[in-house]
Amino acid sequence: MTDEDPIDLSALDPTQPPAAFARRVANVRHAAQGALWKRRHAATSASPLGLVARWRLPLMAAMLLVMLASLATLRALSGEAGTTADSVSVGDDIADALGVSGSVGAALTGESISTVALMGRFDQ
Amino acid sequence: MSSPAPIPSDADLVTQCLRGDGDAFDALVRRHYRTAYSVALGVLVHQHDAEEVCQDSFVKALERLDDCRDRDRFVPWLMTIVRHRALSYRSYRKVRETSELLPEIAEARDSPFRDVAQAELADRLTAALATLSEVQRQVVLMHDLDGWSHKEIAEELEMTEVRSRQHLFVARKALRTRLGGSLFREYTSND
Repeated sequence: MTDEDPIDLSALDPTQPPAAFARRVANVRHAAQGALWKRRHAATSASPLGLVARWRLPLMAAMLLVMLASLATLRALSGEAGTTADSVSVGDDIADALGVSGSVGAALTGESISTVALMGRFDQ
Repeated sequence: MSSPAPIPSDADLVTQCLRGDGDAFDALVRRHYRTAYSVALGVLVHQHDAEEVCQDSFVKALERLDDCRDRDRFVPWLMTIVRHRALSYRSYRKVRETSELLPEIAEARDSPFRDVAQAELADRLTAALATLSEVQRQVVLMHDLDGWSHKEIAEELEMTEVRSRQHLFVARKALRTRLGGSLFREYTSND
């Protein structure tokens, strides 16, 4: 026995026995759950899908706003277009020229009108 | 016949840990626990404290993993964390008297060692280690418990290889004197 020989410190080996070591590793893993979750969450958020998932609610809210604004604009435009069409209707000009009612003129220019109304106008 | 799957390097495991892979983290813990424990025990002497610091250090390492720029040098980076946390822990708990480091029955009962005899041996070793200087303790634990080479120890503890050998020599001699021949067996060619 010389001081060149290693001292057996295996009694201090934390990896023995295996069952105790498994418990130690499990304890470390348990203590690290929060940090692991944060890393997983950060990694998911960085991906394109994660980005969509992260911005899902704000995106949906923005889309809803755009849809509402579009609907309001369309409604306003269609109302305005209807008024303009009435005021400068080509059908009225044709009806005047032919000496028939405006409904018939509208029918001739392709403007929608019910068959019953059309028949009624020709009867006149 | 398919060849066995290659063992992932520390750098691979660190990369996976950065994405929150728990299995990769487990693998790193299993691979380096003894090393971390040797360093912590070298500073703290107390087995239970060393375990606590080990656990804490691995969690801190995971939290700060982005700071480990050279992933191939994960171990030295981890050991720096372990040493700093062990020193902080020691400051917090105050340096204990050697007599306080002697084993307590309750701790021996709670410790996960194989049996009472093994626990007793571990406690006697711990008490003997407590009589060494910190650097001697670290060198002997790193060399004889965790299998570090003098070159690695010298690099880690920032000393020359010759100095590392000297510390080991003195530490072993002191431990043998303290423990006597009956408490340890030597590694022999038949071992």
